[in-house]
Amino acid sequence: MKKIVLIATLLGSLWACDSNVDPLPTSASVTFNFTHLINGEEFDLENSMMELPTGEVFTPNKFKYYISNITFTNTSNQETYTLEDGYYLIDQAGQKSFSFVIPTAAYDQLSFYVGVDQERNLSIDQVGDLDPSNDMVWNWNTGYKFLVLEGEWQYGESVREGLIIHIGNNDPASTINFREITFDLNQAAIDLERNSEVNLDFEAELSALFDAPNEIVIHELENTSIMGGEWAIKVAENYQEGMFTLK
Amino acid sequence: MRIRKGYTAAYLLILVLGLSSCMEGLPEVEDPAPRYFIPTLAASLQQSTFPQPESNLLSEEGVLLGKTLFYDPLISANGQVSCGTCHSLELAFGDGISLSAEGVSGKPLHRHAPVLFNLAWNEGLFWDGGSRNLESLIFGPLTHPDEMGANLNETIAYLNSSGNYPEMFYRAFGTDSITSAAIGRSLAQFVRSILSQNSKYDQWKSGENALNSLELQGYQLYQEHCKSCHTEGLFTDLGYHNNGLDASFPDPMELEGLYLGRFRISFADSDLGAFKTPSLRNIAFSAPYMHDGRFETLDEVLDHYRSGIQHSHSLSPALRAGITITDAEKEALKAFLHSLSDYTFITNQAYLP
Ligand code: HEC
Ligand code: HEC
Repeated sequence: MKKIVLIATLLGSLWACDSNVDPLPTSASVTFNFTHLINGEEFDLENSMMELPTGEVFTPNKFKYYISNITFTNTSNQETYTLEDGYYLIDQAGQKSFSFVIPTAAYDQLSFYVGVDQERNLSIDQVGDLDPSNDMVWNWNTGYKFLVLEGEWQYGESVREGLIIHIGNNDPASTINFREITFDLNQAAIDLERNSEVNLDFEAELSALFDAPNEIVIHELENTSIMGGEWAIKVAENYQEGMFTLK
Repeated sequence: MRIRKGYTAAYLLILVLGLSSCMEGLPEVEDPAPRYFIPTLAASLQQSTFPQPESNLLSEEGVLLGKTLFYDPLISANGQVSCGTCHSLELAFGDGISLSAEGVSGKPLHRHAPVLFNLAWNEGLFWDGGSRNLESLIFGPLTHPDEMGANLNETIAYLNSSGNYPEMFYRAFGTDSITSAAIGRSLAQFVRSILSQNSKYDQWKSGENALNSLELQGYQLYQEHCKSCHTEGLFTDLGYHNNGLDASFPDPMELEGLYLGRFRISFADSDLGAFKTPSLRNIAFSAPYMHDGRFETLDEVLDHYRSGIQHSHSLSPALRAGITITDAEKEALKAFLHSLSDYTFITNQAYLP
C-alpha cells in the first residue's frame, strides 16, 4: 500500500512537474555586442599603434559603421524574420551594443548588412541613429557613410599621413557597397527558440579590411582617401568577407 | 457610479493639470493642419508639374518656418552666419563673391555660391550634383565647418528654447518635437518655393511685352550656340558638362575630389571637370561666374567660349571648336541675356524676413 502511494506521489509529482515546464517563450530580447580588434587585440582610438599585414604602422582615430536589415532565418522551413526600421550605428568611441525584440523560432541563420539600403539612403532627413547629426552623412554627396575608418599611417621612415576610408554609395546602378554578412547560429550554439534573452557577441577585426579577398597596400595607394570607386568596392568586399565573427 | 472623495480630488487635479499643460505646451490654433499649396507656374518655364517629395509637401507654415531659419544667424556655430549671408535676394540669392570667406571659420570656400531659384526641378544639387534633394542638401551648408559650422544638437537646443520656434514647428509639421529632419525639411520647403519666372523674356513669351531687335538677334544666337546646354525654359538642361575651363584636374587628398567635378559623384571618365549647367536666368545679377567664380563679367564668359576653351578628353563635343561669334553678335547675345533679368523676383518681399 505504502509503495503504491509513494509511486502515485512520485508519478503525480512527475506529472505536475511536466505540466509546470515553462512554455517556450514567444519572443526574445536579442542584444548585439560588438568588440573591435586589431590583430586580435582590443584597441584605444588615438593611442594604439598597430602593424598592418603589409608593414604599415597604423593608428586609428575613428571607426564607425551602420548595421541594418537584420534577418533571422530558419533554413529548414525558410521562415524568416527581418527587423523593420532597424538601423544601428556602432562606434568605437560610443555605442557598441543594441537590443531589440523578435518572435522566437528555430532560426539557424542570421544576416545583417553593413550600411543603409538604397531606399533609406536617398535622403538624410531621418531620425534615430540615421539622424544627420551622427557625423555619418556626406556634406557634398547624398546619403550615409556605411563604414568610416580614419587614422594615421607610417611606412618605414615615411612621414605620418592620414588614411581616410569612407565607404557608402548604393546608387541605383550599383548596390555594390551595401554588403550582406551571414552567420551560422547553430555553429555559435545560439538558440532563439527556447531563450527569452539572447546575447550575440561579435568581433570585428580591422586588419581584415586590408586583407582578403583584396589586399590593400596603403603605402602603394595613389590617394589614401578612399571615398568611392574601385577601391571602396574592394574595401567593401573585404568587410563582407572576413571582418566579423560571431563568438 | 460613485467615486470616492479622494479619487474625485485626484481626478480633478489630473484634469486641471492636463488642461493647463495642454494650454502651455500646445499653441492655440483652431486648425493646426498645415495649409498646403502648389505654386503657379509661368508657361515660359516650360514645366508642367512642380515636383516635390511626398514626405515634404509645401505648406504656408513650412515655408514660413524655412524662411525664418534661412535668415537666422543664431543657428550657426558663432551666431553670425545665416544662409542669407551667402545667398542674398538682390543678387538672385547669389553672393557676388568668387569664393566666399564669410563662413564661421573665415576660410575661403572652394566653390562659388550659386544663385537659388527654380530648384524644384533639379535632380542634382551643388555644382557637381552630389546632393540629390534639398532636404538632404541643407545639412551641408548648415554643418560645414567653413560655412555655418552648426552642431545640430546645439541648434535644436537653441530652437527649443527660443521665441516662436516650437510653435512654428508645431504648425508646420504637427509635432512640437524639433528634429534635424524637420529643420532640413522646412529649409528645403522655403528654397523649393523660390521661383523666378517674370523676366522681360517671360513677358515676351506671354505676349505682355516685346523684345527689341537687338534682343531678338541675341535670342537667335542663343538658340544656335547655347541652347543645347542652357535649354530654354529653365535655361539649363540640369545636366553636367565640361565647358572647357581647365585642361587638368588636380586631386589633393584633403579636398575629397573637389576639382574633379561630376566625376567625384559618378566616377565616369566623361564627367571629369564637368559641372552642372547653371541657369542663364538672372545672369546679369549673378556675377562672378562659373563654379569657382573665375570670370568677373559676361564679356569674359563669352570670350571664354569664343577663344578660351581648354582641351581635355572630357571636354563637351559641342565646344571642341569653340563658339564663333563676332563682336557685334556678342553684344546682341548680351542684350538677350539681360532680358532674362527678373526684377520682380529680386525685389519680392515674400522672400525677405
Ligand atoms: C558661407 C557661404 C554659404 C552659406 C552660409 C550657405 N551657402 Fe549655400 N552654397 C554656398 C556655396 C559655396 C555653394 C556651392 C557648393 C558646391 O556646389 O559645392 C552653395 C550651394 C547651395 C545650394 C545648391 C544650389 C544648386 O544650384 O545646386 C543650395 C540649395 C544652398 N546652397 C542653400 C543654402 C541654405 C539653405 C543655406 C543655409 C542653411 C546655405 N546655403 C548657406 C555657400 C553658402
Ligand atoms: C556644352 C554645354 C554648354 C554650352 C554649349 C554652353 N554652355 Fe554655358 N555653361 C555650361 C556649363 C557646364 C557651365 C558651368 C561650368 C562651370 O562652372 O564649371 C556654364 C556656364 C555658363 C555661364 C556662367 C553661369 C554662372 O552662373 O556662373 C554663362 C554666363 C554661360 N555659361 C553662358 C553661355 C552662353 C551665352 C553660351 C552660348 C554662347 C553657352 N553658355 C554655351 C555649359 C554650356
